[in-house]
Order: sequence, then structure tokens, then C-alpha cells
Amino acid sequence: MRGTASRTIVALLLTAAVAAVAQESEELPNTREEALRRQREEKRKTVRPYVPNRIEEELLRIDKAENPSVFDLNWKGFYPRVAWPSRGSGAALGARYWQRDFWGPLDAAGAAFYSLYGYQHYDIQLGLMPHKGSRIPQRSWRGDELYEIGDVKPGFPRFPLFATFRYRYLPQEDFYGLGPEASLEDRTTYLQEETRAYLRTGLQFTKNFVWIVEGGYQWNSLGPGTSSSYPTTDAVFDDDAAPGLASPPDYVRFSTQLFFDFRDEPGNPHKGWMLALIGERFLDRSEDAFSFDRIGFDARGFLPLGSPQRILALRAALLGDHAEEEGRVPFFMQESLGGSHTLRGFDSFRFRGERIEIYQIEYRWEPTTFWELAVFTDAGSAAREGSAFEGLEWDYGFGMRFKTYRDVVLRFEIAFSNETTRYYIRGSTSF
Amino acid sequence: MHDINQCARGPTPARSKAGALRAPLLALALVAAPKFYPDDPILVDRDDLPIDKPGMVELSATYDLLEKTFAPMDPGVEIPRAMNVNTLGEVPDSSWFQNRIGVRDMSLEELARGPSEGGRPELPLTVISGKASGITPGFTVRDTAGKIYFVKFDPLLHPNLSTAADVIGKNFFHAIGYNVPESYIVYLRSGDLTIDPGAQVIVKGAKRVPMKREFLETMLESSAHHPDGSARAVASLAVEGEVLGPLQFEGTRSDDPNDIVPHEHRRELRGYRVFCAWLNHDDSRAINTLDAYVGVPGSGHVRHYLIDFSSTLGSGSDNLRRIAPQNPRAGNEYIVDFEPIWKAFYTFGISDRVWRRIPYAYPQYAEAGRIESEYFDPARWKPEYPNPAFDRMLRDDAFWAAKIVARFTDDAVRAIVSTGDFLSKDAERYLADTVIRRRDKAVAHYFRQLNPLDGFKVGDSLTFRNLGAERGLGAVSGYEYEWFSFDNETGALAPLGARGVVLDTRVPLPDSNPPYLMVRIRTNSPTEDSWRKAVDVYLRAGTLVGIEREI
Repeated sequence: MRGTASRTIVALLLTAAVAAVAQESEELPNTREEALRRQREEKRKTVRPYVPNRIEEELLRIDKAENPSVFDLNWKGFYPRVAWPSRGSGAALGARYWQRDFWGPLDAAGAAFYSLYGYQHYDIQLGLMPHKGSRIPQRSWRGDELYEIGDVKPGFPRFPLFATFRYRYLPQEDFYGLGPEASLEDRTTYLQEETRAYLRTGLQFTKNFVWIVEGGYQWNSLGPGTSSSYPTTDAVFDDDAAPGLASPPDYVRFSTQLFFDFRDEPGNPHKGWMLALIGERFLDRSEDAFSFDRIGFDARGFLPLGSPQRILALRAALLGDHAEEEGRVPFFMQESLGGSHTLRGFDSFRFRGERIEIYQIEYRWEPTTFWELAVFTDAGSAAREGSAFEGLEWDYGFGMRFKTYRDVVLRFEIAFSNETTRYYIRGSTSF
Repeated sequence: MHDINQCARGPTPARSKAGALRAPLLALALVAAPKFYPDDPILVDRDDLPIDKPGMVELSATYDLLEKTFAPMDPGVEIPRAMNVNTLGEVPDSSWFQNRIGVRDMSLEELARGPSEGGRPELPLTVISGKASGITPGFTVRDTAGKIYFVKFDPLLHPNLSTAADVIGKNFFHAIGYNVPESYIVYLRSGDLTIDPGAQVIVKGAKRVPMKREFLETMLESSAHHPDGSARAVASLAVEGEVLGPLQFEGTRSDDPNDIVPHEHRRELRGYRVFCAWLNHDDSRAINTLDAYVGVPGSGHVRHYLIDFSSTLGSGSDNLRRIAPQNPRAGNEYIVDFEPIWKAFYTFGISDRVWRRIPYAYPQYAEAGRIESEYFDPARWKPEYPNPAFDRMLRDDAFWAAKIVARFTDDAVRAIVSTGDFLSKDAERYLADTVIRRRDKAVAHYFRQLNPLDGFKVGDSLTFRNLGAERGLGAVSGYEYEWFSFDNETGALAPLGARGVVLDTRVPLPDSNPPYLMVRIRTNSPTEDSWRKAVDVYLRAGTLVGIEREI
């Protein structure tokens, strides 16, 4: 009985299998066209719309904005930014505002930043500003006057004319003393509040030649530094060693700059050169004891070494302040060396003086256009007015940059000196 | 390398992004299916079955670049043979490709006419929208006949460069067999243009603002001018049907039932690489393609187009994405090409790109842009970034394409290049000469990769042509052949007599006459080892029914 059942089941299974095979055989297409048609009919049962993933959707939105660029991400003219408002400030989070033709032909710009170490920066600008397309104009918030000269990009309009109001709160500015004798052990900090209102104009003679004139008022205020690691400046230095410490002067300031730029792309040069000449007059509004003049130059050259992917970048800059007879130059107005644009192996503001010299050499190589590596050495010194430059301080290091064709977007550097090792992450070129 | 029998039985299906059906036309290949169907070889793939209108696809060019660059094809994956070829290894006519110069002679007039069907815009033109920024600012117009055209200009500094490349490129790719829009070089003056009251301009940030006359004037002033003062532009006729967005070079359209072959396995898309290399079409990416729904809604189908050939030949864009003579990198290196990047990195920049030293004739022949033929190597040529179909191109795909390239005679090339309407005849001559030399290099390279036998005919004997020998690419000392009977149901082969050798391109037929015959032919060449690779030719009732090539 059991065997009969088993045989019956096997027979049924076989019959079903044969039937299935027979049915399948019947369904085999007879022609190639039929076979293809069946495949298409089969797919028709499962059609579904194309759904891009989230990343693709976002990138599509940016693509549609035309010429996508990190510089163009904005909300009604407000741009989120990470910036370094002053040397030693640490990274600052904030926003910039930029609107062409904000009021008739006048452009408007503004910025607000707050840094890791409590530094604050606010500015408002209105007028005919130099810009290309809708790019943000010159970075007046950088607070690095020497460097700022080189940042003026030739562009429209030919007659820039704009007003700026700027306030900076710098709570931990470093001061080590003046001249080459300044000692690392004497590191102090002070608070500086600086407010400037000025008008800037100029003439763009050609694509490569710009003359800039600036005039305005500068209010200065000093106080104890907020750093808990170092003493405040007034605890270590007196007014002789740190002129202007007791009564920081306000100034009327006049400045003129001549700017010759033959770099192929100012923000990311591969060949050419630039020369900036600066002359400034600072008029002390109180006692005239701190009035002074400043002259200087900044020359940079970029030599391709047989290929645009190998660049030798050179820089030499000299700056000299000259106080009126029996006058002095306030220590906080004196130019300094140290930090991400000058002596990179030294702390920011490490060397100050009425006279500054800086020499920099970089060998840059580009594995590809948006990625650059560099080895570099910097040398420079600071001297007191009337004194000769003594031995150069020097450092060396290497770095890596990510770039667009026009700008350095991110710069990573490590620099070594006999005093320290410095690490940098910056959003700008070294020079 | 693929065994020839693997091809015969059908390749292994590959990954399909869209999860599409994967069987090739050659091997629809259910286990019990015969190798040859009665209607083989098919000359037309009826992929125009009525379907509902698929949805619009928008593709991010940036995402496409990143995806293809950083997630390219796994080099270890075995690449199957092309899946949309017929049993002769040819591409049937379809919504993708219409065989033209590859299968018939085209007159010089027809070649120069390209896709045009008398649709030159009739002036004046009404501007209905515009684009103020991007790599190719331009606008959309409606002519007096109501036809819509997209108008793009040459930049002021580079007269005739991109408009000529666009029209020439379209005419070449049309002759090859692709669907391309009609394009015309037009000369416009301000008075030829009026603005539609509802016209808008897309400005930076994707904002739309009402179009002002100033926009048109600026566009005309910043464009290159003809000696008669008019601004030269290329006007591309809007393609027939409703636009569905670009196609992709991988997977299938998930909402098109007719689209059953993964695009990376379509021969005309794999072979597109050969044509793009020949004509330096480095911008041959997905964003420069277009699907359109043609026919009556509800019973139409999708047609696939290639568009925008302004970055072809010597025309391209500079580092700021402006139209300019082709960037020397283009065609030689991907935008992100890891190998040269790595080499330059660890050698401190000493390892430099060879292409930097290419002595281009630019600007001597400025209208022709930056293109050359001395350094050009069809095998090393690269588009802007990896293309999934290009990366899967096998030697038989390339051979198919090279056969078409070889069909362009010198006169054909010159006829098409002349449609660029150059001011300088020297530039036109230089460009044509360069294209001809690049053609010869491409054909020579791919005809040397496998046994280049073709043109099989059955009569008293089996005759054929050796395309490589005909072009003087190698010497031939004879052809080995071996006949088999072939079982169409099982795929079994049984030898029919001994192996033979003939000295010319004529193989005697065997005495027996089974339903299917197969002859395996190898070329004996003292110079070309690859010509020893087998070509299997199948006959059914004295008719050619299949060709398979060892690659």
C-alpha cells in the first residue's frame, strides 16, 4: 500500500515536470523578434521612474545654479565662512554679505566673525567695489596690511570708490618686545579694539596696473590681554619698551599704493610677477607724538620650472616706519613677522619692529591642477628704527593646498624653526 | 580574453544599475533556445514598441563626474560581449542607431547635409529664453515657421571655433549612424532678433529675470563677428518629441520597457569611444545626450540622441570653463586621472605629462583650434572622465567601429569638414588632413587587434575581404580554414574533413551540406600575430547567418 502511494506520487511529480517542460517549450519564442518582444513585455511589468539619490539631487541643484563654486553658496547674499580675522585669532566662524548693485550702481558688503579665541570682526562696505563677476571683493577683514596689498585683484570698475566701517576686537594679541632681541620668554598678550572708517578709491590704468588711494580715521584702544597662559603686556613692559601702551593714539590715516600685477592668475599664480609699493601717513590726533610714515614694497615672482606643474615662488618684502622727530611708532601699529604668511615656523607677531624684511622661497608642484604640494623656507628679521638688520631668522616646512583654478581653497602647512613647530590650516595662499 | 565559444553561448550578465533584463540579442539564450532563429540575422531591433511616456530625468553633471571617477568599473570583472548585436556581429537599426555609411555609400552631398532636412531657421527670430552664464551662454529662439532652435555663439576671441566644431561633429556622427539634432551655422544681426514678451533669462544662481534688449546686445557684442559685421552662431533645431533628459552610459532606463540591454553593453555605445577618439570628442559624457519621446502620446517610444559637439576636434574649453581651443589635457588624461597624479606626487613634480610637449599648430590655424595627429594614439585617448560603456569596449566592438571609420574616404572627410564654413581655407585643409591622419591611425590600430576578415559572400565558394591587408597593414601568406557541421539546437560541432589552406580570400565549400555549416578561418601573417585569431562563419542553407570573432 505504502509502495503504491510512493509510486503514485513519483508518477504525479514526473507528469507535472514533463507538463511544465512541455509548456515551457511551447513558450519558447520562434523568432528573434518574438524573443525580444517578450523581454520587453516582461520589463513593462516592472517599469518604475528614475529616482536620483540625495547627493545627486543636491549636486543637481548646485549645477543648475551655473558655474557652481563654493564661493557662490549663499542665502540672499549671505555667505557662511570660516576665516582668520587676525593672526593668532584661531579660526573664526561667521558670515559675509555681498550684493552687487545693492543701491543703484553701489555694491554692498559686510562681514561678522567670531573666533575660537574670542576675536571679533565686523565690517560694512558700500560703494563701487573692485570685483569680478559676483566674487567677493578684497579681503579687508584679514587684518594683514602687508598681505592685503597683494590681494587686490584687477577688475571692474576702473574707478573703485567705496566706504568702509570696520570694528575689530582682538583680545589676545601677542607681544614679545621690539626688535631682534625680543625673547620667547617675554611673551605677553594685550587686548586691542580697533575701529576704522575710511574711504578708498583708485584708478585701474590697465589690467596690470592699479593705483589706490585711501584715507580715513582709526580709533585705537588697548587693555589687558585675556589669555590665562601669558601675562598681560602692561605687566611686563612699560611705555618705553612698548610705545603707546599707556595712551594709544587715534589716527587720521592716508595711504597710497601702486600695484603692478603680471601674474597669470593672482589667486593661484603659475607664472609672472607682482610688485606692490605702499606709502602711508599716520597722523596722531592727540599729541602728535606718535605720528609716523610708512613705506614699503612687496615683490613676488613665480617661475615655471620647465612645466606649469613645477613652480618656484619667490617673495621679498621690506617695510619701514619713520616717526617724526622725537616721536615714536606705537608697538601695536608696527608690522610683525611670524604666522601663516611670513615666518611660518614662528608664532604670530613673534618679531616686531619699525623695519621688517621677509624673504620666502617655495617649490610648488601640482600633481593635478586642483592639488598642490610645496616645500618652503622663510627668512626674515625685524629691526628698530635707525638700526641695521641683524641676522635673519629662518624656518622651513612643507604643505599641501587644494585649489580651484583661481584660488587656494584650503592650505595645510607644517613649518619648523629653532623655536617651535607650527601647523596651519588656512583658506588662502601663502603669498 | 574571451573564448570564442563563450560568445557563442552568450556572455555572463553583468551588473545593471537599473536592474534591467540582461539577455543579449545574440543569446536570448534560454538553455533550450537555438543559437540561430529563423529570422536571424535581424537588421532591425524593434525597440519602438508603443509605451507610455517615461518621466523626465535630470542628471547632475557633477555627480556623474564624481561617480564615474571615484567608483569606476572593477578592472577584475569579466566583460561580456556586446549584447545588442545581431548574429553577424553588426548593430541592427534601432532607436539608438541607424546604419548609414557603414552599410551603404553616401554621396558627398548627403554627408555634408548631415541630419538637415531643410530646417534652416527663417529670420527674423523671436528669442523666447536665454542663459547668461555657464560654458555656453546662448538663447532659445522661434523662427517664423514656429520651429524652435537653440542658438550659441563663438566667443569673441575664437571666431568660428566652436560653431564649426559643433556642425562638423554633428555631421560626422550622423553619417556614422547616431541620432543628432539638425544644426546650422547662421549669421545674425541685432535686427534679426526680437524678444518675446514672456522671455526670461537664467542668470547666476538659477534665477530667472525678464529678458531685456540689453541682454541680446551684450550677447552679440561679446561674440565673434563675421567680416560683414554679423555675429556667427550655431542654431540647433529642437529634437522631435518631448524631451526626457539625458541617457546614461550604464544600466537601462527603468521606465522604458523597450530599453532592455544595459547601455554599457550596447555596441554602438562601446564603439562610440573609437569615434570620439578619432574626432577628439572628449566631452562625450551623459550630459551631452538626450532622450526624447516621439510619436503619439501613449503609443510613442523613446529615441536616443547625441547632442552638443562644440567640444569636438580642436574646440573645447579652458580652465575657467570658457569656450576656447581644446585644452591639451583633453583626450590625453581624465580630469582626475590617478596614475599621473600619483607619479607627479611622489616624484616632486618631476614626472610630467607628455602631452604638455605636444607641438600643436595652434594658433597658426586658429579656427581649427588645438588638434593634432602625430601624438594621437587611439588606444590611449581618454574622455573627460571614465565612461562605463567605453571602459567595456572589447576588440570586436572596436573593430565594428573602426570598419565604419574606414568607410570615410578622404573626400568624405573633406566634404564634412567644409561644413564648418571656415574663413581660412588653410585652417579647413589642416583640420581635414588631421582628421584623415587620425582616421588612419584609428583604423590601423583596431584592424591589428584581431583577424580583420569581413565582407563574407557565399557562392561557389566562400569569399571574403581582409580589411587589414587591403589597407597595407600587414602581409598575408595564406588563410587556414576548417569546416564543421553545426547543430543549432545543441551547439555541437563536428569536423567536416581536414584543415585546409588557401592563398587568396576564397575558401572552397565542403562536399556535404548539413543544415548548418561553420568554417573557422585564421589568417597566416608573418607580421600580424593577432590575425591568427579565429573568425567563425556560419552558413544556413547556403546563406550567411552568423559571424563570431575571437578577440
